[in-house]
Amino acid sequence: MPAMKKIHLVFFILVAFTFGALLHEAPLFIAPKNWPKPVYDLKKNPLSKARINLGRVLFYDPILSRDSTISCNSCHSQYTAFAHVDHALSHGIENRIGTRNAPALLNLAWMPLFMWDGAINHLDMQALAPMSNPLEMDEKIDHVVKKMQRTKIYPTLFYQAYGDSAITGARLLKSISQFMITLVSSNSKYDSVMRHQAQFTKQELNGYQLFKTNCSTCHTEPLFTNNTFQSNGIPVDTSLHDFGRVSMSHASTDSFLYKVPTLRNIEFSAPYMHDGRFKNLTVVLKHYNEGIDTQRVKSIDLKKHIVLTSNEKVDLIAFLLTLTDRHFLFDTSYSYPKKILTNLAKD
Amino acid sequence: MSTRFLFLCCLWLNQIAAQTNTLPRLELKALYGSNNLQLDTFYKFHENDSIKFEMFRFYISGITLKQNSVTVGSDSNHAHLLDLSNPHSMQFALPASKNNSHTTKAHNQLEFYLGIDSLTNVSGALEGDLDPTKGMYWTWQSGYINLKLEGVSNLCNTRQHEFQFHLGGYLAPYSALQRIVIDIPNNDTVEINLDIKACIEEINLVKENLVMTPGEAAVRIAAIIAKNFKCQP
Ligand code: HEC
Ligand code: HEC
Repeated sequence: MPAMKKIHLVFFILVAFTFGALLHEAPLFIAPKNWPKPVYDLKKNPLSKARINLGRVLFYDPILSRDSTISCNSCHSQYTAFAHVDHALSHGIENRIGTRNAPALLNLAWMPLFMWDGAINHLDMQALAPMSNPLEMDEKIDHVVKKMQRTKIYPTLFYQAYGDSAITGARLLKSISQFMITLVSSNSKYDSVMRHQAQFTKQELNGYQLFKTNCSTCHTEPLFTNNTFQSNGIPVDTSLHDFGRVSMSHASTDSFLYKVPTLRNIEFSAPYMHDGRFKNLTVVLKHYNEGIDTQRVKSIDLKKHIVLTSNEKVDLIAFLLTLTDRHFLFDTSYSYPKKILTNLAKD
Repeated sequence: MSTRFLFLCCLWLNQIAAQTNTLPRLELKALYGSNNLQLDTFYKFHENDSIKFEMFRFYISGITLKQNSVTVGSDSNHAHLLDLSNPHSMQFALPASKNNSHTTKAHNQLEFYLGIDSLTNVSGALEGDLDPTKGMYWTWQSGYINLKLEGVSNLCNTRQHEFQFHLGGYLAPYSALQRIVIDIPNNDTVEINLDIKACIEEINLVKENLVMTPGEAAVRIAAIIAKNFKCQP
């Protein structure tokens, strides 16, 4: 690069920097007030707009799968709170069926362990699992990196994000984490009520009381999960050979325990449970009301037999629907990165 | 300019180098009995059996140098991936970490770990030798694979008589990490040998030929390998 051009560039960067600072750009991640401290250590992966953008492009790019047909988004779509729409068991490459239901992806910065059985110990490492699962994307990360090096866009995106165009596995994974960390859902009606900006209806309020009595030891506010592994008394489906947490912990007391899922945006993340066995919330409540295998559950909340009248069930569902966060479901900064990609194509 | 001046300069530079950064070089040799182990070569095993190794890769980490059990230097690189198919990876200088100034002190002991410690295992994506593209990270369950030993032997009643040992696991009770302490001479190059024949003789290949998950077997086999690291005096 000629010296003159270089100076221009430096000047331009300086100006951009000052302007950026002056404009006070919205912070890239905010932990909502009164929420616990995030588990994810952002000091080890400092957020930047360029890295989040890169992660977002990756999340929507089928390049991560062997035959370039499946992206993260194929199983985690925004309008179902990043769960897998309609499929009880996730569909992967060549229509192979996985063994578990894809959970909603939100508030992941507060999650200590991932997957229904906690097999993944860090958000960064999560993307490796679907990429290399023969039933999902059936690809290897070293090969993905090679494929990306041959593209036009990725060297540029990595340059923008990390100051040089080197594509490494660690950078790839950390960028996907950055995008996933921004998936914060904290703008439901429930949140407005807690911030004294809205009020529950009588029905919702009654549902909230029932929820606090029966459900909140596991589905604990404000995340609506306490992130522990539990049995909620659903009968074991032996055909799936899925033993839950015990496969990771080797502690026999962990047999058939699964991570308590969040209930935020539950309206949109059907079907429910680790194997997607329940199609709607009415069936879920029927289970908690009369289907619990009291031999298997350890929680006293579930051993005591939840008895809800049909009106109470309706009220409880009305409350669960206040956990829907439309800002989250329609936030354009989470959607397909059309603008980023068209801008890149122009250069 | 006189050669003498240059010579003095060199001496001076040398001294700086010695002061600031290096511990001895480490050279690791994989042996089959008394020979250097070659990949993709059939060896005689027991009386009438044969064995061939196709992959041997492992991590060593936390290298420290001691004099009578007192640490005199530690490696600033957290972990090294050694790969028998890449001779460069089997020997390297140990850069001393910043916080120990007296790196040129005498030493008589080497301590290191075979594998990756649990803290590193839960630290997310890491660069360099620890990058997941190196193929030493489990994908379906988080954790580094501390060691991969793969090959073929007629003793294995498996597909194409293959054996595969992927040893790792950082969670109690099956932490596969092994601490190794070896007495070494006070030299600038430390040669460490690992006799794979001695290791594999302790494993019953007929019964045990695929170990791919954390568990009792992984811990036991890792311990067998760990105790066969020996210093070449
Ligand atoms: C073929 C479908 C499929 C694809 C493709 C897929 N996932 Fe998933 N995802 C799942 C399923 C199923 C689970 C739950 C699996 C389990 O618990 O065993 C899951 C779990 C997760 C979780 C853990 C959530 C939690 O609550 O524990 C995260 C995070 C995640 N996926 C991110 C991603 C990313 C990032 C990608 C792209 C690299 C991706 N997924 C691609 C199906 C998929
Ligand atoms: C003992 C802890 C516990 C209690 C109490 C509890 N749950 Fe759950 N809940 C779980 C676990 C664990 C799962 C996941 C089970 C599985 O997939 O095997 C779950 C799953 C769910 C799901 C499905 C979520 C999804 O994304 O698939 C809903 C909805 C739900 N619970 C609602 C409730 C309601 C309503 C109550 C109170 C009536 C309640 N839970 C009480 C532990 C609990």
